[in-house]
Amino acid sequence: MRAEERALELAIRLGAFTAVIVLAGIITLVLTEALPALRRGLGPFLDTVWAPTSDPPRFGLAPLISGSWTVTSLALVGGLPLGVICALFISEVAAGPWQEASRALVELTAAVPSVVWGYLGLSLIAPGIKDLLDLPTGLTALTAAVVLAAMALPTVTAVSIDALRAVPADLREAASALGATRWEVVLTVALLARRGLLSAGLMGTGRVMGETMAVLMLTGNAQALVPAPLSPVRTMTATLAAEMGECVRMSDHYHALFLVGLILLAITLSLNLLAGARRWP
Amino acid sequence: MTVQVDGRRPKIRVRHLEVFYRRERILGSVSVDIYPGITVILGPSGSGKTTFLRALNRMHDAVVGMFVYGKVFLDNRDIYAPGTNVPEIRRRVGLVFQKPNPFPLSIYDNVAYGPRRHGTPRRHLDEIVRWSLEQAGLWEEVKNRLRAPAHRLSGGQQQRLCIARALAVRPEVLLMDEPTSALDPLAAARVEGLIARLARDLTVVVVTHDIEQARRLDGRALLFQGGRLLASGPTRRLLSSHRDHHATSRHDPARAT
Repeated sequence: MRAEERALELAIRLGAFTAVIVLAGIITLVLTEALPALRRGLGPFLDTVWAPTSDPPRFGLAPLISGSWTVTSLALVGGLPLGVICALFISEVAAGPWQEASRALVELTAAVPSVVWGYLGLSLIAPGIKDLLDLPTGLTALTAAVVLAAMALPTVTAVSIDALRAVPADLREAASALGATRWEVVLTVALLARRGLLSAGLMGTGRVMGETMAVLMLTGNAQALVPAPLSPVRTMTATLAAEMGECVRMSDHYHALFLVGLILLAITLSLNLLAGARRWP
Repeated sequence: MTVQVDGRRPKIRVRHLEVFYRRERILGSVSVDIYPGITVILGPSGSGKTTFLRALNRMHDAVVGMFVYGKVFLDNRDIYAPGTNVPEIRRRVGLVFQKPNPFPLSIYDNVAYGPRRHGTPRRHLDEIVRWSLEQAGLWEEVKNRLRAPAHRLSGGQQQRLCIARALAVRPEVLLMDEPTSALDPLAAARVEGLIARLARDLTVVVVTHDIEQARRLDGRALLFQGGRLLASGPTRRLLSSHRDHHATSRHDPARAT
């Protein structure tokens, strides 16, 4: 092997290795900072209220998990079908310049910073939802979910497009040769790509679950134990962002926040692993 | 002007058919009649055989840059006339591909795919699936595992499944693009026998590289070369009067694949 090739291979190996090291480092750090929180058992975290600065402090995780669950599931109800439909349009229906333009547009939405999404939500969606549904505040789980659905779009669409493109051309031809109409061919391709579309959904779920800034700006940050789409909620991510800067290092509060982080990390990592395992056979 | 052969009228009449890819003419101009029974299409690689075959059920429609001119009459109706219901044409004129291409679904769902698209009532599906698999000579081998994935079948079985899938929509014409070239000799022989049997009821058009196969299938033959129809007529007569072509075809490197 020539020297340049050897150098190139080394560089690639180094890059891949760095990624592994960073991920392992993150997991180790979160674990070591979260585990001390469990020294008094799970008891304190089964409380129904999260009030780390009250006296005595209360560390109930249920309202945070319930908040994340509400916002995420609402966002996915809208975002997943929309992303798959966008992908079907771009991959199967649009042609030539339309295809390029629509693909570029969806990819561009990925470049919008999440604070801008939050601002858009504050200035457009929140007042709209407040007036439309006659609510005391526009900062609700639904408001955040609408914005998150838009934010998940590029991820869901891009992965879905890959899944659809992976359906071999001879299967499309087989479908049309059997007298399937254009729409039936499109639906057949979607059916055959269902595993890949599922993995797009899982990736999108991870994206929505982990989003912080827009959620912090839009959910109202009031705890709700029972999921309610039209009331303010508080998510795990928003709690971390709001409280991490102000808590005392190595305090119970600090470790409790890392425990929240550990739960988030576990959920998003497993979603991504699951998504990776579900590709075209 | 229509010539009758054995007292039969042509099923397909092709008139001045030309196919362009971008600005290059890759086929034409072809005028020929295709009769019920077997028609084999012969010629070296790149001679326009497959292009001609796919023009007979408008498979070129979906390919960007492909343009088809001329007329193809199926029972006196031009399938390229404006306003033609293309899915309906494809239902009547089925296509079996060179490489077996079953859907990654169950055996049953593969065969039921076409009938389902055409609104066949659910209660008739079992019967149609059975009939189609019987016609394709596959029923005895798969009747106890209709729900198994089609990809578990061997290559030859997959090709017969694809034939069953094409038969399930009750086509009048079956186009086959080198249907045995991706199979081992034994599986190929089975499919070949099947083709001969199907040709009793259908109009079957088979592209083949294999002169011996053409001879065994008999029927009529079209000989293509360089994107043009060189000759047509009863297969045996055509083969004996075109020994030269026959010889070049034997040395066609693609035959070895």
